[in-house]
Amino acid sequence: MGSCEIFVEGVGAARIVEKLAQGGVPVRAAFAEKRGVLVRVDVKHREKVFAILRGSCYNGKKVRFLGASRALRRLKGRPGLIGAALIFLLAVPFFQSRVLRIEVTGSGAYYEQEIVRLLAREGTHVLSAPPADRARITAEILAFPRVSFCTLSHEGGVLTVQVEVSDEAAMLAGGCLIAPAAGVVQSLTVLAGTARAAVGDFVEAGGVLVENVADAGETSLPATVIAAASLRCTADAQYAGSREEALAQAYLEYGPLEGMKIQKTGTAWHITGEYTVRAALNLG
Amino acid sequence: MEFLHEIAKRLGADAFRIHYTVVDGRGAYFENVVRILYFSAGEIVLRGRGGSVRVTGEALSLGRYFAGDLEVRGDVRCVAREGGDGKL
Repeated sequence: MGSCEIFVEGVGAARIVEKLAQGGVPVRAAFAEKRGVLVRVDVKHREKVFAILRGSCYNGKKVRFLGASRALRRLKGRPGLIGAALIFLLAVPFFQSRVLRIEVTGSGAYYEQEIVRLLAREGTHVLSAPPADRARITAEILAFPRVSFCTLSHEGGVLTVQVEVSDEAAMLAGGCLIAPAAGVVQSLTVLAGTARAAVGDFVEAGGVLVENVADAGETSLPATVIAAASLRCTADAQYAGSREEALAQAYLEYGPLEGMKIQKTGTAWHITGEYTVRAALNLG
Repeated sequence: MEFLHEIAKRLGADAFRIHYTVVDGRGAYFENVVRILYFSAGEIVLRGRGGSVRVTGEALSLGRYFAGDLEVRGDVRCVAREGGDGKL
């Protein structure tokens, strides 16, 4: 358990040590001093030492505890210190497990108010427990405009929400991909949405090329169209003025014409040919 | 005492003399110590069944002492036997 030192005053250090040994007290150490001997015994034998010395010409005094027993005795006289230490030991893990501060970092830190409101809706605020369903909160934050990255971490009582925004994550346009002019579909690229025309199909101007739905079995779910298409269209127009002016106007209207034919009809020029027009929604 | 007599008869009286081991500069260990006759920082006299032993040195102190076993700490310079073989 621990030991203690007792200074035994008297003449004859050897006799003192012998008395204790014969009395059944194991002596751990003994140091001869001027007026007596300093003996070290187990704490449990302390009372026995005084009992042996009682009634003799030896006087035991100045007990000094050593090791753990010394520390324990000191602590016994300081209940306030023990209480404070206990409170501290209990408080630290408790408060570390709570949210003491919410920090929003990253280029999306301007969403702080919205994020704090979102967390409060989920029951997370100062001194509350950290959010249990972090994936859901992350998904909601990712739905914010321009947000491309989001992560939640809780360490040392601080709930850190890192939000990064990117211009590439700009909001996508809604609606369907519409054919700008009547023509034959030459190419169709659909990343999201449902194609309502195929390559080789003739579509009228304003016709739906890609619809903003996603077919899921018998139901259709809303979707954002990400698609592009090119159509082969026929140009057929008449222009007044000189031949050059008519060609220039046709170029302005249709771009370069393939297989162009130009004919004078009365006071106007009749120009025909084929051109390619491109339509895209949220792609390129 | 009968038991001790029997042991002494078989092993000889030397079985109960003080046996010791000295570790240079550290101390010494003694067995079969009956009494400590004298103890000071420079000299320790021990009595066993078959005579006495005088230990001299510097800064001597006692370590564990119980049931005939004794540890002496300090710089043991000399260990000398004194007295002849005694009767049990």
